[in-house]
Amino acid sequence: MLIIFLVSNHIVVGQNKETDSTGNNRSETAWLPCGNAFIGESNSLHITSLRLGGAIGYGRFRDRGTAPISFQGPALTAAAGLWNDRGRWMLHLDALTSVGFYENAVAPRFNFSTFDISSTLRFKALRRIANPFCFPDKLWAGVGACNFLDVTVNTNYENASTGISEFFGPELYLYGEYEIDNSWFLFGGCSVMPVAAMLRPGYAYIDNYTASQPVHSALFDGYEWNAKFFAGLSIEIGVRYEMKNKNQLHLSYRWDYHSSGGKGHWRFDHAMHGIYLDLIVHLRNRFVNEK
Amino acid sequence: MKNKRTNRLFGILLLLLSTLLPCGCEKLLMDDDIESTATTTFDYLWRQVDERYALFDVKTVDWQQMYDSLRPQVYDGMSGDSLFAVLRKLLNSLDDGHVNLWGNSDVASSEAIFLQRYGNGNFDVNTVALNYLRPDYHTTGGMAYNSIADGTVLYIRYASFMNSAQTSQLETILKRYPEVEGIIFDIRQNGGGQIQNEWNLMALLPDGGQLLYTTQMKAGPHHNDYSDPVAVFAPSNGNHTPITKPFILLTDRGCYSAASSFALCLKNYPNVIVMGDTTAGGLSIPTGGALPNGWYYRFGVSRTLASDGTNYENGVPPDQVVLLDPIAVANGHDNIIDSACHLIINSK
Repeated sequence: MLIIFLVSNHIVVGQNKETDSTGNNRSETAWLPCGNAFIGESNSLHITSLRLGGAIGYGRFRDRGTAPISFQGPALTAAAGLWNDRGRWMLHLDALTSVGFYENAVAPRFNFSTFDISSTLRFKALRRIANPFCFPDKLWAGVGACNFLDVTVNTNYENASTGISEFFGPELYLYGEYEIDNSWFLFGGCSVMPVAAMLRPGYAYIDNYTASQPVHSALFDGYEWNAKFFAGLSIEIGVRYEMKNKNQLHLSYRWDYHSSGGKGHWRFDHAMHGIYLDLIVHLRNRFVNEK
Repeated sequence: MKNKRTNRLFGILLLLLSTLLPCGCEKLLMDDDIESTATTTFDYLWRQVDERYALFDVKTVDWQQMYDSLRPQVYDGMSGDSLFAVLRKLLNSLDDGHVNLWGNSDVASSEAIFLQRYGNGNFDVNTVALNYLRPDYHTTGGMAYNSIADGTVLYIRYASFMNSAQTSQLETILKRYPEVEGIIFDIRQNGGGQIQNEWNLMALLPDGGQLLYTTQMKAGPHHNDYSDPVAVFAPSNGNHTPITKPFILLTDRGCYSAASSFALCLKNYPNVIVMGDTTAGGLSIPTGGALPNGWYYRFGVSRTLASDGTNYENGVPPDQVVLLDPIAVANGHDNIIDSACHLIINSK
């Protein structure tokens, strides 16, 4: 049995139920956002999806609190997210954790004695906007918040071996998408953290463990808060493939950069290039009449 | 239609070109590393020490003069070994055991601390092992022990703060010898280790809430830029029964870092006497980093002041100076342990 809903003149959602050769019932839901279905119709489809994925990449950081040189090496990233696409709005919550195995960039000898663990928690709300440019099929802009936590561990540094850098602030997003054909889409976007609150090791860089303080105090008492304009930048480009069951595969290249700014011991820079592969699993489709 | 296709192609091309943007941005935003030359390496290390080393107030070195005398010896293109030798000389002027340099194939350590430890040691391991610990000694955690002086004194040898010293372990040892009149705790030639072991041991000394020391971190680029002092007090005994018997701590020029810090703390307990020789010091917290050429270094970025405000970074003096007598050693005696025994027995 085939049921076809005409939601508007530009969106088609269908559910196909049939019995296969083994006697089991199969059902398939399909929707095809094509054209202006997301930009003002009174009816829309709300899709909740789970993002599962990861990346291989190459990272680089420089922490002037301990060294004037950078450390670089391969990194692995695990990503998970919960996405809710609701017509003209997209709400995305993503969590990413990267582990990098780094070596001294000055004299690399495959001595990966430095570890870099970074964790990103990002929420963004994007709204489809009237297209000011002529080329993207769809264009979104939005705001959100991002928390970026980076822990570097250099086993050669004795008491300064561990440095924690924390960035928290709002982000601005721009995201565009092209439909190559019904299943393939090209997408690209960028985000910027216009201002951030940051926590970085203080002047001495290490905690005063001879002060006999509680652990939480010993860990962060020597740290300093600061604020920075333009603390983060990300650029992403990729393709997504929409499967028949409406799940999606995303293959993308992403570059993330964070910087504490400033000079001297306070300065911290972190960049990560990653090739991401994500599976977007549709958990729930809900048809909403917005009137 | 044709216009749409053109726009789309243009858009795709623009997006693809944007992949080149990150590399350009990263180059622009993150700038290049400092040049890896002999001169930049020397200058960087000198400045790091100048701005972050916390102990210039107790060191006799004129740091600017060291720069003026050694900098002319450094030139770009010099061999790694030659540069290492100059940097070793620079750091050795600090006479600090917490100062080190790790090159590609060599490590520089303080020559002064080395000479103090092995040239002025106050300890003969064979005499202690054969005549005081004796073959029937016991070991609990990192502590070796036996009763001496006809069972009236408990002798405990703790050779390194790297070895385990739990409160419960010391408690176990003390319970084995309830009849002794006092304890000799020997940390001679103990080069330090985990500071937590100090607190574990002090948990069994009587807690009078007394001030042990104050500590400050380096907080700015000038030699006297320190953070506010933090006062550190004697740890609580908790559920433990404190040691009220005479407790004699034996020290020498081989006691460094945590061992010196332990001696500094114990001088504040009423039933403790520190006996032997001045320690080698090392009360600061060392931190590390990398140089422009990839070598690593470390030096102290904190200072510790005794309860009377004195900075004993160069050595904690004993309450009673007793130096090892070679004639006594030749006769199988450690006259420092004997003096401690005598003190305990006569303190009844």
